Amino acid sequence: MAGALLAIEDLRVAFHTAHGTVQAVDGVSLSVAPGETVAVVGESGSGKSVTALSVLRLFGRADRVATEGAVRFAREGGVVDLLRLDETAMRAIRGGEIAIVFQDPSTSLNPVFPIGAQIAEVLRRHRGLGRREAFAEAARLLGRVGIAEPEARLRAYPHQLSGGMRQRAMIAMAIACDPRLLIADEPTTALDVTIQAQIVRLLKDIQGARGMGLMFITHDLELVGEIADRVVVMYAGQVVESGPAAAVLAAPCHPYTRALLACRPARDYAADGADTIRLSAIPGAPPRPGALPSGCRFAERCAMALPECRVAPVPLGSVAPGRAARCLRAGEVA
Amino acid sequence: MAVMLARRLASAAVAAFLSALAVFLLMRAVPGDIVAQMLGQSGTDRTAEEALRAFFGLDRPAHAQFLDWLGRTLAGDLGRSWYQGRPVSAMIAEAFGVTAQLAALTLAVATLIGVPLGVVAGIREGTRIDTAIQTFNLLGLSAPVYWVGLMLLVGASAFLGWSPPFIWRDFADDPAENLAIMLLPVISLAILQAAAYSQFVRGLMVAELRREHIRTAIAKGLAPHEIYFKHALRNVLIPLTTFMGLILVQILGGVVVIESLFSLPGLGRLILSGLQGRDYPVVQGALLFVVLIAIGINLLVDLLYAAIDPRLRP
Repeated sequence: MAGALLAIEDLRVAFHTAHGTVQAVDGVSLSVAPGETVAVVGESGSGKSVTALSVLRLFGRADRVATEGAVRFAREGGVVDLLRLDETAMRAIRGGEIAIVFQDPSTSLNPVFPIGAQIAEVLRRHRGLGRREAFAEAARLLGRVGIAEPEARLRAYPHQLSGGMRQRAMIAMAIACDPRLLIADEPTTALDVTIQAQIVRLLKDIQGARGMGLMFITHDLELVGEIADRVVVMYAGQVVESGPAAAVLAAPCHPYTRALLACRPARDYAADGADTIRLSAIPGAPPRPGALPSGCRFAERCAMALPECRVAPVPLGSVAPGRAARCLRAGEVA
Repeated sequence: MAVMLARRLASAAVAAFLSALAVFLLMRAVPGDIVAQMLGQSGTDRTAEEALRAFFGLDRPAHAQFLDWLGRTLAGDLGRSWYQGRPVSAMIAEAFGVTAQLAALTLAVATLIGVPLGVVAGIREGTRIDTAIQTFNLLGLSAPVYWVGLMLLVGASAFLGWSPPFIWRDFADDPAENLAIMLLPVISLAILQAAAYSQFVRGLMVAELRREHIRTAIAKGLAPHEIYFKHALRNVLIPLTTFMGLILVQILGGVVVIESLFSLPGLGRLILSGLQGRDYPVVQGALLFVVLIAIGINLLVDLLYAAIDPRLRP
């Protein structure tokens, strides 16, 4: 994938647990170009977060993880495979060239340090700033992410800030060193609905201004339309559909994507002014990682499943230029 | 903060009163008193016995004795030892110097050994180093303090031909001699507490390193030493403060045994000899003092807690 900032190629991630091996990510390929926003969408357990964490190798210390495939990242000096880079080189990339914003800012910030110190730390680490300059820059960054009175906020501890403010501080920390790629792992899930839109707008705004690549992990298709250039839909550890966001949302080629779209809450305004939210859910549950079917992994929940869907693994096939779907009936769905 | 302090002081006063009452009642529940001891086996002289009881005030009803003692104590007078005739407060002050030094040295040694061991075991969770440290913890926690003390004493004299000096010396008078006396008692007390520390800190460290803010620290590109010793350890310090208070109170408990084993003239031995002689004023005064110290330590820990944990600051 020439010209890509990040190219994940046939990534496979397995966790060895006491109950056996769990193949959380099973042959995922996706790429992010400079300045591009790619949304990775799926239910919890689809492997989308594991894919994101694999880029920076941010697994838990108790996890016994086996990774295969490649995560190619274009650095200044050339392309490196992040799965095979040594720890020291990896540390230079983490927080410097690739940064990440996590889901829950109330647990992702260290509770015993003021946010100014936490932002200054990454500036000192990667940009070699002195204490004074780092704090001045941290204040500038807090202002950039829309925090009022940034100098005073430098001394605030995470618990003294609201959820939205904390996530803004996390974003300030992530963009501190002008990363070429920003990963946002469900950055709005833990926030109030009204704050969600602000945070998404802020991310989009910063990305546009800096030309960063943005990998946006979400389970919310609503957001995809607002933010993404391209979308990758994941199900049970695999990519089931990918393509330009607008095209996929307008005419999904995979029954799962279509079902997800149908799940979005729709507002009905009744005559008496009260609005009710209609929610339709996809019947059934995703297959357990230990008991994957031999055929299409979505077949059990699919309204369009044919007998041949259950026979053999379904390949990811091209359905249109730049669009792919893992469905035998992809042509009919659209 | 002031409200918290006032509330803590009020409950401390209640606790001190209840423990004073308990000590008073327990002392009188123990069979035999000083009069019986003075008269010994031949104690059949009724007039002498009654005269002695009246002399010590033991002929009065128990509640009158208690209220009398409480009143004087509140006025700052702990009375005099029935054996030595010296003011109890002076005896406590003298003995406390020894106990305080023993406890402080033990706390320092236990902290300096136990905390690093726990931190290393937590960082190296699941490795051989971790197993080795946990084995030490298990042994340290299961060895009784008096047994360790006895083994050290026997071992030192049998294998090294050395035994601690007999005559007590203050640190100010003769530091070398003083520390030689303190060496074995401090080790015997510190092993248990170091093991307790190490086990506790290991658990804290293991839990801390699984928290999400540690993942953030890794994602920032920080080096392992910054992650372990800055981001994780700073959080571990908060519960560790409480634990330090608990350890100190535990050390005060262990001191009684160790002081009598090594013949150190501290509070423990004062209380023990007072008990043996049914020297009520000494036992009541010294135990009340120990209770107040323990309450004071807990109060101090609460204040420290607020200083260390930013979430508890006003």
